[in-house]
Amino acid sequence: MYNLEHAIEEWKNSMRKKRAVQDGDLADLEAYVRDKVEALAGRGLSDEEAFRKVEEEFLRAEHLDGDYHKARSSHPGKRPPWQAPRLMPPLVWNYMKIAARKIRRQKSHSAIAIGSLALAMAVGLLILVWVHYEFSYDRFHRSASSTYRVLCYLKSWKRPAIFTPNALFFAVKEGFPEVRSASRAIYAQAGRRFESPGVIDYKSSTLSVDPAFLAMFDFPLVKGDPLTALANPKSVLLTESAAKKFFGADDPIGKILLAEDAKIPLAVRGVLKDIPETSNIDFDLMMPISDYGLSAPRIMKSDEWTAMNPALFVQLAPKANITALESKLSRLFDEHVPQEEARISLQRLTDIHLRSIGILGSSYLARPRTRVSFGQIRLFLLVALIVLLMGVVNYVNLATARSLKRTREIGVRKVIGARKGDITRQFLGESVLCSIAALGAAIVLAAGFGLPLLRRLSGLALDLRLLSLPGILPEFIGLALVIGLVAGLYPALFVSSFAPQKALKETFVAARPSLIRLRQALVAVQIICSAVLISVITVLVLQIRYIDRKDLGFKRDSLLTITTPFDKNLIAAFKSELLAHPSIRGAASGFQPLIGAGGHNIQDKDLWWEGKSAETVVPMDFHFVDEDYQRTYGLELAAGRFFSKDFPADKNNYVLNESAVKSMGLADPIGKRFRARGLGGKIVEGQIIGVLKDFHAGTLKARIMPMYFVYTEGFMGVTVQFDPKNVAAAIAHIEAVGKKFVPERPLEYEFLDESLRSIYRNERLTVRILSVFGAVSILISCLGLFGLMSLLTEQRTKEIGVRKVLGASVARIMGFMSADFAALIALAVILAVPIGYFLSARWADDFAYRIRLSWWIFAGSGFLVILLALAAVGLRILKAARANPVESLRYE
Amino acid sequence: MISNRPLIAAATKPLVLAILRRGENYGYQIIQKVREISGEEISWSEPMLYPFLQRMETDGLITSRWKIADNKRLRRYYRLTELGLAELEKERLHWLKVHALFRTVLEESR
Repeated sequence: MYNLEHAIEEWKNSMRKKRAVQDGDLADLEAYVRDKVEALAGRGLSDEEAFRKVEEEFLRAEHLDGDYHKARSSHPGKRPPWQAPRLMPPLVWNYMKIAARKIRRQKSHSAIAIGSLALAMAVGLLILVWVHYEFSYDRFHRSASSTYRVLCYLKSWKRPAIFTPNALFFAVKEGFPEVRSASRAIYAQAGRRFESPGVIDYKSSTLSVDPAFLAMFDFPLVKGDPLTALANPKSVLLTESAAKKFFGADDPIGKILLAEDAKIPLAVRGVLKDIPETSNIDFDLMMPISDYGLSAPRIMKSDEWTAMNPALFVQLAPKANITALESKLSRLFDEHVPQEEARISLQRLTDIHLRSIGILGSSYLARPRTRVSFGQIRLFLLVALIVLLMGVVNYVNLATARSLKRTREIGVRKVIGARKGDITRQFLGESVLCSIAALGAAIVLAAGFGLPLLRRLSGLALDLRLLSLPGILPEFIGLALVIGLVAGLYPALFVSSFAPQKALKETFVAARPSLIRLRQALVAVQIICSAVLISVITVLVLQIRYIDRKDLGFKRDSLLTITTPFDKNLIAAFKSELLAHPSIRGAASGFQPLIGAGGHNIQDKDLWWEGKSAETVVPMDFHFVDEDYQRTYGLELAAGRFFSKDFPADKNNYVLNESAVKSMGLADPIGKRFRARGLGGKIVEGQIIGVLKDFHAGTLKARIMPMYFVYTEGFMGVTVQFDPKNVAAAIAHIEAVGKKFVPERPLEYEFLDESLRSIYRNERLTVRILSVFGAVSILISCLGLFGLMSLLTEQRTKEIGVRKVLGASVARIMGFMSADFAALIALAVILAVPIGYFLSARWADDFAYRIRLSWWIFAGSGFLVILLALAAVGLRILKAARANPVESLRYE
Repeated sequence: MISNRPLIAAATKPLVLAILRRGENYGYQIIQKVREISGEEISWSEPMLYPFLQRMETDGLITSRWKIADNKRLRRYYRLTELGLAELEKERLHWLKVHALFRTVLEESR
């Protein structure tokens, strides 16, 4: 039978312990309790149920004591004397001491937790430095935000281009109030001849601009007056390095620089500060745009709507309506050139660096260095984020597991008077401290190893000094705080809710099922990430290897192409002098080297052949080649013969490739008539005399284009085949011959295999960087597994001992200890396979010629992950399983 | 149900004062009254009202005396003081002002 009076008496006893509750208060509250119980009983509850309910109300009212105190105090805001203050400074020292002691006691666990977090943060830091670097492009111009590049989309181009009609500049300058200033810019690559007393140089690039350019952009002048420097024709501005190159230490102002075979004198009117590395516009010399043509001057008429030439930069007034301006400009263009359906758009100056893929001519004004696309940056950021997440996961896992061993400490703290909040704060503080320590380690790691590595991989002048940018360090300290809080939150809340009497009695509290599930999920996420990364990286590596090994249809070794242009009448003599040396096996000339993406023009409307139906459209590449081209490059003939000096009619004849024959639909091409544009744009009709087997002239990303070859002697691109066993002699000979023909400049040449490799520079970069990330991520997850396993085995030390005493073998123990993990790892890998397949298929789809994504790639990488993970787990279990059971049983 | 705790806390004092203006009363009854009148819209964390009554007594807004009820239960009855009455008037004006202001703003924005 339930005794209500007894229950109320007990409740009163517990209330008497509250210091501020006086006897009167208690009587008052007792009346309340009795009234309420009565009322509840009236509603059909039993005495017991009713009293329980009321009692609960009092349990919820945990501040009752403090409130009574405050109600009588003359300082209601003050904390009651028996309550611990929110923060006790003397305790902070104790917290730190305990934290340091825990770290020292569990060296390996702490090292794994903090180390993997540091590793992950280092990766994040590096990527952040890189991203900051990429986004810092062109932002040094003070008016960068209001400066735009005009892009022109024409129907015939099918994509936007940086080239604009000359007349647009004049129209924009006058008719549009929202345009503050405008300047054209024409870039000419290195290759022109410039001469100063005692110096002849071909390696200076030039930028020809309107006078407004210097006011729009922040390319400051060290010497000279920016207002007048470009005002007169035949003037030139030099960058500091160019000034040093041409005039040494002398003051260059007023000196004369001779351009193009000493025919044109240019007066130096100023010296520009060297162009910063983060500038997309790069040049050595700057000239007024009127001098653009130099020895072949071109008049740039103000009503020229069809000649597409200069890039156009505009600076807009603040708050200018960009879309309105774009459509006004498009309409203006359409009025003059109606058939093109032109669309004019404006591209932010600061978008040029990362968002120019697919824009015609975008590479021509840009620096010739590794260009990273926005997509690549996003990929790297994503991967860095994953790696960071894995570090955090390790931290959370180890921290929760470790906190289970601190129950005694928590029990003691609680008994002495710590509240839940105090313990939460202590654990969160510890976690944040660890994460800041990890950040410190990460900065050291990133500066010491990461940055040099990344610099080498990317070829960019990345510098940790970018960190001094006010943005990035607060970002990272913020991130460290957030990671510390997030990683510490679960353990902190979990640990602080231990009941003190239980916490004191047991050395550790068994993990709750929810905690175990969380931990398993986190481990699974880690393994999925690693497996996905590994399988994607494997596909990338295999594809790159495929590219390197694929038979491209021509010889890629022992060939070099001479890039120095020289008088084409001398080519025949040059070739025969080259061939005089035994180390030179062949030489051929053509309009350009065989390989190179985007260098070939495409024709279709002037093409005709015997049996062509009216509706067939075959766009074709074409090459101008001499008779030695096929032999030098090692191209194979599928039918017929190649051009020869013995057949004078070959001047009008054609050789096709197999793709051309196939898309033209010719069954027996040899001897058929073929008409196309030949040298100088003349339409020439002749015979098809041969068919070359297909070869990859461009990247493997594109399908092989149909091609025709036109016979021409003496074009300036010379390709030399040398004896691979005698490279030094061959090069010496080539340089000697070059000296004879072009005495004033050193011969420049490229090895074909190197040029081929450079086509895939970006892909290689991606693979290398992802491989580094992949390795780090695997390392982190293995470390995490190892750490977690060691904590779990420690908890089960006694169990292992008992099992051993009862006769279990090491293998049995290994088996039952790792069973859960093995299943988890296998499941995670199975989940990872489709993700990995999807991601790598998307990447590989860029290539028209690619490896097959066979099952074994994914099975293999999954197996690798399983192996590594089980090794990490097994290693730790093995140690526990082999321990002497006597000691295991004595443990605790 | 009003679950805005700061709002309920702010309304507690005027409500208690207003209920006590009708006459002497004890804690449990006050709680019941508020619950009844508000149609269970307002529900206090009940034991917490007692220290609050104590505070009001310290501040001199109410006084209390012990009474033995018919069922032999000892109860503390609270009664409004002059100061409490003045305080209630002050509170009333404040709330009316806030109410009027609120209404005007709402109507203007309509």
